[in-house]
Amino acid sequence: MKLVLIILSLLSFNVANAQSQVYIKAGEAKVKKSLIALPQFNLLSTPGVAAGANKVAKDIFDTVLYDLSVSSYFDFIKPEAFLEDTSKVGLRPGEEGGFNFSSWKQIGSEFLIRAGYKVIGNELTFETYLYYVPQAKLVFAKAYKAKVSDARLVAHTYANDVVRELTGKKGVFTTKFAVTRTAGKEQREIFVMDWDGGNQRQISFHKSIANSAAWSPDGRYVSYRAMAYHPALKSRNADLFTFDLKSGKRWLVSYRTGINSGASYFPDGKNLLLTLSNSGNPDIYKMTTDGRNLTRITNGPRGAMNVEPSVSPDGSKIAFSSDRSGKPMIYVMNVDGSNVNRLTFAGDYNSTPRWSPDSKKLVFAGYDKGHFDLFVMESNGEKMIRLTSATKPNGKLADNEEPSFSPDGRHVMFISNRTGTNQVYIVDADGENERRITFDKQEYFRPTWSPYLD
Amino acid sequence: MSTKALFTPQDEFSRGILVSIAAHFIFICLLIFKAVMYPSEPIRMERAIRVDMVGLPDKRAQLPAEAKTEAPPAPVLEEKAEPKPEPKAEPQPEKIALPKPEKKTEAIDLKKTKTAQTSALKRLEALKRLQGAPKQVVEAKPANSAPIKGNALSPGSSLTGIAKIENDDYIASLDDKIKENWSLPAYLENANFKAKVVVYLDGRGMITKMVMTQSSPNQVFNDKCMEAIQKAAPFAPPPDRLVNIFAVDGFEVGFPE
Repeated sequence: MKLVLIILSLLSFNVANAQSQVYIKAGEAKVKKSLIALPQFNLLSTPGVAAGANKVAKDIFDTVLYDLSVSSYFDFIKPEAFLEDTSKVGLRPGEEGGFNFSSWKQIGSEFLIRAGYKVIGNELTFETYLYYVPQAKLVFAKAYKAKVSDARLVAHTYANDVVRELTGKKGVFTTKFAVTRTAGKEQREIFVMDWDGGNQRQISFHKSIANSAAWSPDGRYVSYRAMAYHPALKSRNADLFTFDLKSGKRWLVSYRTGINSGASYFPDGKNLLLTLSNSGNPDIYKMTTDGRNLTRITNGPRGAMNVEPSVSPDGSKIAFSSDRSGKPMIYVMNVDGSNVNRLTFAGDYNSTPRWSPDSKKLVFAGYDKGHFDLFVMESNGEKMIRLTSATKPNGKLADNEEPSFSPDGRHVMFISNRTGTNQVYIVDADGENERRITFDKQEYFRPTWSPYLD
Repeated sequence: MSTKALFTPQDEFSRGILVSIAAHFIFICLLIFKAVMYPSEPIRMERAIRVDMVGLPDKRAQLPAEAKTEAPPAPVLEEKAEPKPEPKAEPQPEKIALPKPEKKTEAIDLKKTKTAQTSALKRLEALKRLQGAPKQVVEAKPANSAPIKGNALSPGSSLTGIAKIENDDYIASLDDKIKENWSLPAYLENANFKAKVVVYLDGRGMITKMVMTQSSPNQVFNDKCMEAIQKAAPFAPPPDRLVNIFAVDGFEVGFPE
């Protein structure tokens, strides 16, 4: 009995004690980038063993540096501030000839990447260590082996691994994008390339105008519209094709008279949306990926165009543009075409709505005051922000249009003519850190970021 | 003299003018009378068509970074613009000093209550000057009152009146200092980690001990929580009534909530 009383009294004391304790909520933290040191990579084999090894190392270094800077997680410490000659110390601390953590603590580095490479024959070995300096702790170590020709893939994979180790989320550095690019006189074809513009691969050869590429959810197929010649009609028609990136095969999906364009895959990968105009005005239809089981989703109003469908990644909504109110504006509806809601009311022309991967936001291009810019809003049309605002060399405002979200939702890829030609750019989803991706004299149109490919 | 001579054509004209003026005057009076006594239905200006005067947002004004910097002053302005009627309508010292049965483990909405507390403190001071009220209204007792035994409520240990306001102000200062020093690396921004730390202070506001009562699986996040408190220290010396509480029980900080 005494024991029970003692326990009860202790419990009551604890409860009273807990109730009297002051509690403070720290709230949302301020966010800042981490300082990271990325010294040049050490050569691990005898110099001169493989010609061109230094160039390979430079390619990997530049790619890792670019990927990690685009991640917006890091500020890089300038090499001039380094207290150690990293070419003369090892990749690991504590061993003979190893580096010293105190040299990196002194300059305020939070993270340190030490890496080395060797090239033997056609084989590249890339050995890496990521350290958390304040705790003198190894975050992760990994060695990559690949063909020398895959050096950039090794670098992208390493950058992805760094992001995943620190955030627990996938990086986007091994993703790609599909885009229309000029390919000869009055010809535009579909190209697929790394997210940073490297490794360009042409996938359409129609010698005409191909456009509006769309990825299947598994990243294996790219559907696009091309002006294909119809011998029976002795004319060209805007047909929908699908290309298998794995097998290299291509097939015709939809070739109804008129427009067969603007494909958008459902998350199941078995159905897609497209715009058809064979019944008059362009309207949105659903079909299986083999072109069968056609279902009409929009129907009028009379004379109105309903185009550029985009299925939300959760498969519940369709965003599209329509001029049913007079000017082309952004609308959202259920996947069966019901419950149509107009989302935009401002600007002269709003087009190409594209969903964020979490289906919570939409990005679109808005034409206002003589030029296009990108805008992001909630899926109900609220909290609209402008992402871009750039001028051409002549001082006039540039067009920034045809947006596409990255698979992690942190970036938006788009086309801008700010340099005089249409080039591919990316910008963070909050409008910060615009970067140019392509650097050539070609013209680019409608980039579409792939899903995760690994 | 004939009658014709009495009324010349000029006289007739003048008479006609007078009659006309009189008739107009009567007519205007009738109109005014009607307007005053029998007002007509007002003309209804109904909207025939809606015109939305909207434009696409500018980039700079909508940048989240700038929005964050502008956000903090907003609640203060609102509170100033719309002072709550509660403290104004009830200036009696008894009501202000009544100990409230609030649960102290809940986080205090410090910013929201700070303005009200300050104004309440000023009113209390004014009342004291006018009425000669004691400092602690609830605890005040007649000096020569006989001790009451049984069936009586103890004054308890709850903080009330000015002491409570002072303590809340002090806790608000802790809150501000910790928030000022609470930062995370960008790569942990959306990680949704949580941690709790109990902090013990001595009478000078120095940290004597910190205990992480709830930790996250991420060591860097845990370190940043501890770092936020360490950077915020030393704190101001706690008020007398909090010295023992902070020395023995400490206060708990939730990251982020």
